[in-house]
Amino acid sequence: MIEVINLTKRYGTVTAVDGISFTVQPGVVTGFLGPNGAGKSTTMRAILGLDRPTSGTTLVNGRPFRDAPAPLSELGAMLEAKSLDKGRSARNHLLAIGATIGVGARRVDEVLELVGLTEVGGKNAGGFSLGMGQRLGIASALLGDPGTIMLDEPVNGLDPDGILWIRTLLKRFAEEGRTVFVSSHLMSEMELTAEHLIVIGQGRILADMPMQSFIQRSSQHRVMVVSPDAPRLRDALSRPGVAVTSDAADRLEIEGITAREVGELAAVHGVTLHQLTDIAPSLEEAFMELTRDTVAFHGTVASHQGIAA
Amino acid sequence: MSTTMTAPTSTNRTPANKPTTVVRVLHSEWVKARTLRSTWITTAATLLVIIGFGLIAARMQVSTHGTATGGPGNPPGISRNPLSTVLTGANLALLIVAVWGATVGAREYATGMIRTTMSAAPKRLPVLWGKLASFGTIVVPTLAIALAAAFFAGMRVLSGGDLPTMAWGDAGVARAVLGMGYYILGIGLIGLALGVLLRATAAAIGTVIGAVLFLPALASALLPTSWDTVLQYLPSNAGESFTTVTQGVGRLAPGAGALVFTAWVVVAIAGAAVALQRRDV
Ligand SMILES: Nc1ncnc2c1ncn2[C@@H]1O[C@H](COP(=O)(O)OP(=O)(O)O)[C@@H](O)[C@H]1O
Ligand SMILES: [Mg+2]
Repeated sequence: MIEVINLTKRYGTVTAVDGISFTVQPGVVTGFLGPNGAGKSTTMRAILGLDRPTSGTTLVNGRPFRDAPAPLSELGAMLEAKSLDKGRSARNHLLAIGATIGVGARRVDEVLELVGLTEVGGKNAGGFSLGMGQRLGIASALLGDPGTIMLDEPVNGLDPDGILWIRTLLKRFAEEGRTVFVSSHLMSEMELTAEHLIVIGQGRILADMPMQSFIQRSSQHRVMVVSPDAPRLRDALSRPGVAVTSDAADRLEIEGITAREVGELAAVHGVTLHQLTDIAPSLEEAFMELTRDTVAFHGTVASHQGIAA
Repeated sequence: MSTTMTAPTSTNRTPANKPTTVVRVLHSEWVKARTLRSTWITTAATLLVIIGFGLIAARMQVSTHGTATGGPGNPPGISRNPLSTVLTGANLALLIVAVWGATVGAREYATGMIRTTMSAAPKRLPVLWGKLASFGTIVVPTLAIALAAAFFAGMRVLSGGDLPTMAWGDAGVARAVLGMGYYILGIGLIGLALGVLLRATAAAIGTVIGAVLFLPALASALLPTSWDTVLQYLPSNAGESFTTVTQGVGRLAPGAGALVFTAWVVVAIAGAAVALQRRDV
C-alpha cells in the first residue's frame, strides 16, 4: 500500500506537486493519469525517497520507504527504463541489485524468464532496444517479489505486443493482491489497464475514484439517433439543457438527455427511429472535460511560472 | 498459488529475501564493480604502468650510467635517486587512479543507474561506503603488488648495473613506498568522492586532477613565498612529504603530512556523504 499525505515538491520556483494526498490500495491496478508535466514522476520519485519532499510525507506499507528493512521486497519500481549501466549485462545488473536483499542467481534467472529476457541475459544492457530495457526495468522491479509495484509510463515507446504484455502482467499482479500503481499520460491506455484512477493536473489531484465513476461523473452520455424524421425530432428536443448537433441529414447527436427519454419523446411525436444509441464517453473525453479549465492542457505553452501561479 | 498461461513462472514465488544491511549493500557494490570490464582494464593499466615504467626507467639508468655502458666520465653519482627511478610509473598511475575514482563516483549519475541503486538502498549512505570499499578492495592490492614488484625488481636491475640501490630496510624507504601507495589510493578516494559530489564524470576528473594535483604547483608559482607554509597543507604537497625518502626544505614532516592528507580525504568523503544525504538523487 502507498500513502501520499499532503505532498508538496518544489524545484526552485516550480511547484511540481502541490499538497496532494491519496492512497493506493492493493488488489486493483491504480492508474496515475495526467498530462506531461503534471507531477506524476515527481510524486513517484518522492514515494521512492529519491526526491525529498518540500513538505508532506509518503509511506509504503505504513512507513517511509527509506525505513523499509528490505526495500526491494516491499516496493519494486521502474521510473525510467534505462536507469541502468550500459556496460553491464542484464543478468549482472539484476545480480547486483538483488544482492541488497540477498537474492541470487536462481531468482535472477526466474525474473529474466518471467520478462522473456533469458536469451539475452548475458548481453550488455547498453545494446538493448527500448522494449528490452523496459522489460529489464520490470525484471528489477520484480526481483524482490514486492507487494507493491510502481511503474512510471511503462508503455512509452513499446510496440503493441509489449503494451499488451505489460497490461496483462499488471492485471495479474493486481489479481495476486499486490498494490499496482502505474502512471501514464495516455488516457486510452489507462482506460484499458486501470480499475481505479487518480488524475493529476498541474500538481494537484483532480479525481480519485473508480474508473467507471470517473467516466460517468465527468462527462455526460450522448445519444445518437438515426431517423428519417430528424428535423421533426430536433424540434421536439428543443428545450433548455439539451444540445443537439447533426453531421448528416438523418443523424442527430444529443446531449443532456438519456436515450430512454429520447425514445419516449420520439414515440409521443410519432417520429420513426432507425437507430437509437447511448454513447458512453471515453476516458479521454472524461479527462478533457475534467481538465477543460486548466491552462496547461490547452496546448498553450504554460511556463513554469504559469503552472506555479 | 496463482497459475498463468503466459509465463511458466508464477510471479508470486517468494524469494528468500533478507534485510538490506550495510554489508549487503557493500556486496551489491562489489558485484557492480567486478562486473564492469573497465574495472579490470584499469587495474591492468595501473599494474602495467607502475611495474613497466619502473623497470624501463631502471634499465635506462643502467644503460646511461651503469657499468655496462658507462664510461669513465659517467660516475654513478649522477644517476637519479634509485627510489624515484623505480617508482617512475607512480606519477602516471596517480592520474589513472584519480580518473578511475572520479569515474566510479560519477558513473551511475551519467547512466541513470543511480535511481535503481537508490531505490534498492534508499538509506543512501551505505551505497557510498560500498563504492569506497569496493574501490579500495581492488586498488589496495593492485597498488601493493605493483609497487612491491616495481621496487624489488627495479632495485635488482639497478644493482645488476652496479648503480646505487636502496634496501627496504633503509631509513625512510618502506615509509616512502607505502606512502606512495597510500597517496595514490587517497587521491583515488578523493576522486570518487568528487564524482559523487559533482555527479558528472568530466567535472570530477577535471577537479581532482586540476585542483588537487596541479593547483598547488600553480599556486606556488603565482603566490609570494610567504604563502609557502600554507601551500604545504595542500593535498599534493602534503603527499610529497611522505612519499619521498629525503625531506624537502620547508615540507611538513612525513607524519604530519600523512595526517593532513588524510584530513583532505576525509573532508572530501564527508562532503560527498552530506550531499548524498541532503539533495535529491
Ligand atoms: N528535477 C527537476 N528540476 C526542476 N523541475 C523539475 C524537476 N523534475 C520535474 N520538474 C518540473 O516539475 C513539473 C512536474 O514534472 P514531472 O513530475 O516530471 O511530471 P510528469 O511526470 O507528470 O510528466 C514539470 O513542470 C517539470 O518541469
Ligand atoms: Mg513523467
